Amino acid sequence: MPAAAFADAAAVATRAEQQRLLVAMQQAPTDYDITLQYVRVSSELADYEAAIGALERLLFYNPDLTRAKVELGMLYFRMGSYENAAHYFRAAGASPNLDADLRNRVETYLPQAEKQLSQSRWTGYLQTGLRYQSNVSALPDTGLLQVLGNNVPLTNPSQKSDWNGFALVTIGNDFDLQDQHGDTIETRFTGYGTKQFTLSSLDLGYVEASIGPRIGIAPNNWANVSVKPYIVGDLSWIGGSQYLNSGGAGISLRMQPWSAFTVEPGFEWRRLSVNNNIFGSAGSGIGSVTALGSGDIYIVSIAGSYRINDWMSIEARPFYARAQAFNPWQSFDQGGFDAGLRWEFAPPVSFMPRRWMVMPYVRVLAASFDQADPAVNPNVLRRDTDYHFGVLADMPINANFGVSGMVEYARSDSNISNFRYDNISVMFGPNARF
Amino acid sequence: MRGFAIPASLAWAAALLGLALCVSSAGEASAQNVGNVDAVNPRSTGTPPGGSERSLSIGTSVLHREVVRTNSVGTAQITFNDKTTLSIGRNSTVTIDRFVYDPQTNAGQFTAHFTKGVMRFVGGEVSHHSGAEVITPVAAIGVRGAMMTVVFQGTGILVIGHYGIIDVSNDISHQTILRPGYAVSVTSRGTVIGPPFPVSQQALSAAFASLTSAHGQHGGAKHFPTDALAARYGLGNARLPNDPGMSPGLNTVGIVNLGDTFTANRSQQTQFNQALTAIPPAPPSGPTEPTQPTGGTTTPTTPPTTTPGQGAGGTITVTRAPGTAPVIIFNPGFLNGLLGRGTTSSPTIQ
Repeated sequence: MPAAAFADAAAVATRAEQQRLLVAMQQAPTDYDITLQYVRVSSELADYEAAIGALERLLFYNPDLTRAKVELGMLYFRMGSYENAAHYFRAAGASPNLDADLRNRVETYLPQAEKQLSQSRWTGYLQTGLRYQSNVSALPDTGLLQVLGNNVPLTNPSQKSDWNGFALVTIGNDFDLQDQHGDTIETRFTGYGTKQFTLSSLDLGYVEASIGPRIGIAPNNWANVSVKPYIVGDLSWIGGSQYLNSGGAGISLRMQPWSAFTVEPGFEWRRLSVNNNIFGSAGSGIGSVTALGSGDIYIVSIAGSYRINDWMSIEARPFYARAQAFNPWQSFDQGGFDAGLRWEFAPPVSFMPRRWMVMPYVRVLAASFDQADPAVNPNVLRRDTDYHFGVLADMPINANFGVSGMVEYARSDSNISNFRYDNISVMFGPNARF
Repeated sequence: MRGFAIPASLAWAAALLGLALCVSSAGEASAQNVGNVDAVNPRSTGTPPGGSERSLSIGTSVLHREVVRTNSVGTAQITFNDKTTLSIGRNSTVTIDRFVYDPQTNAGQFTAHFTKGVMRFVGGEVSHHSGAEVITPVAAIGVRGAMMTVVFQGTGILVIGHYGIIDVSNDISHQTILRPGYAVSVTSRGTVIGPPFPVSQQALSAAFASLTSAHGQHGGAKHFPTDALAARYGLGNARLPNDPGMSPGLNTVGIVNLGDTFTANRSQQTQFNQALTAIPPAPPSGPTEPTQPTGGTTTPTTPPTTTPGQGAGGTITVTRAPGTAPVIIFNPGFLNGLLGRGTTSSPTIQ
């Protein structure tokens, strides 16, 4: 039986079981085995209202039933009814009967529920640690560079791999305008910095910020459709000197046609200013050989996520970018996508309140440049295809702290030897979230 | 109790209700029995139409137009065939006017009059497919796939939405609650209903307190569910999905890869710079320019070296004093050849 048909048949069977249990429960309301089976089956069907009704009845019989309160808190949380979720988490937390593992969970989820009730909501993720790269210098495979169409050997081929210490932070604020459209003002901040152990000329600093309103569209008729215009800017430094700055604007439309599927097409424009450090001087003119050059970049993308079940979801983002640089050999068309399978699972130890996560992912980017770079090879139009294959893992230990890591193989294929290389990287370290 | 016109916003419900009345009786629940009492704390009574008041207990059938009343310590929960549950709080009066449900189509009708106290409505199939209606002395409440709590405050009501879409209308105005945790307050039939606002924790806690069993009450059950039994069924054991805003993901990968792109670009430029300056020297082809260290004022003490290179359409002359950055002078023919231009200018990179 094909998988989809099997899934449909299983759902039909589960609904039939729910109906059977409903009838049995009405005939014997105090048969708690039947009621608890009904709660479990209803939750499997994501029929949270049915489960809630049955659980609230159990609280009629035993108002001190702590596990029912915890379960009700989580069901209301899933439905977005955070006021009821917070009420039940508080009630459960006040119970002396709550065991340590459940108390950990309640103390993790209650602040999240209360945060959703605030007008100004902050979220954040921070990670630090160590990262190893086999080819941080992006040295080409062949050891040769094209210069004016000639093959020239690298002058320092041994300086390739290195460790760094890094820090990464993403912080978001949603300011709720408290209308029935669900309108908010979203502010996002990203920071990323690395300190190489050896190749300090490649120490990196990057900060980006964006702000814009998210506006609900006709929520009465189109559930969960919103549009977000925004402005965005970033600054970056390499080796202590400014590298790439950009500023721009964009717009995205988020839609949730059904509860398991979200799609967000978007368009963004940025003006880039790139200091390519040509022979030690600033600017981006003749002799600037890299892909990124000063100019404009336009990006069209469609971000999507599909929740397969309570534990797994697929995220993907195909995109097209047009870079219109001041130097025509740095102008290009680029298409590609990134995709990941988010798999969450119960942690190995019961006192850990949050799920662990593993995400295998892939990124593919293909770029085609407008003109040959005369300084590199005036006869060859550059074509690059980049592949990234990796696995990301997140292992929360308690409500706020944990560890995470990432392993990646990156391959840059190009028809110009300068830009053909690969890089294996491993990063690992502690993280924090709020 | 209906003294005001039902607003047009409920017209859709009336049309669907009319369809429900035409449903074959073979699939409907009994026209007399609308639901069952599944939990009750005394004193809670029911008065069927034309009958006398009776005490409710677990398993009692609730009939059409039966008036359910609770006293200052009584509470009750009624369950309907479509999975709807109605919790009735202390000092409350509710009348189930109509409940019809066809399990084949999931269509049906639910209408209740609520005149006093506190109630919580958790919608089932009828609410999701046809809509349900609760009539109070000051407003009509339409419920679409929703959960709500209604609390009498003096002569007015507070309607708290927990999920779904809730339409609240009186004689002169109408509001719709679309967001969980928002409420509207209706003071009278002739007063404009203000927009929904976030419900206070105090109001919510007071409503919960009126709806739940008090200490020593057990909803009419002789034996009670326990946490040990609940644990056997895994109640409370699950963990919520992680919040993507608080977790690493493709966004994190993108930031790290962007950093790698920046450093790769910078490194590639540096490699190119170094390779260009390492081109083997050709025989000198002309006078060399005096060198100047970039960003400094030191005058070199040794003669500069000149490393000419060969390029398309001309030559590159690389001049460098020891310890200083290279100075590249593109001879006119070189640049013009590269750019395909007819100008005579020759930029100098220092």
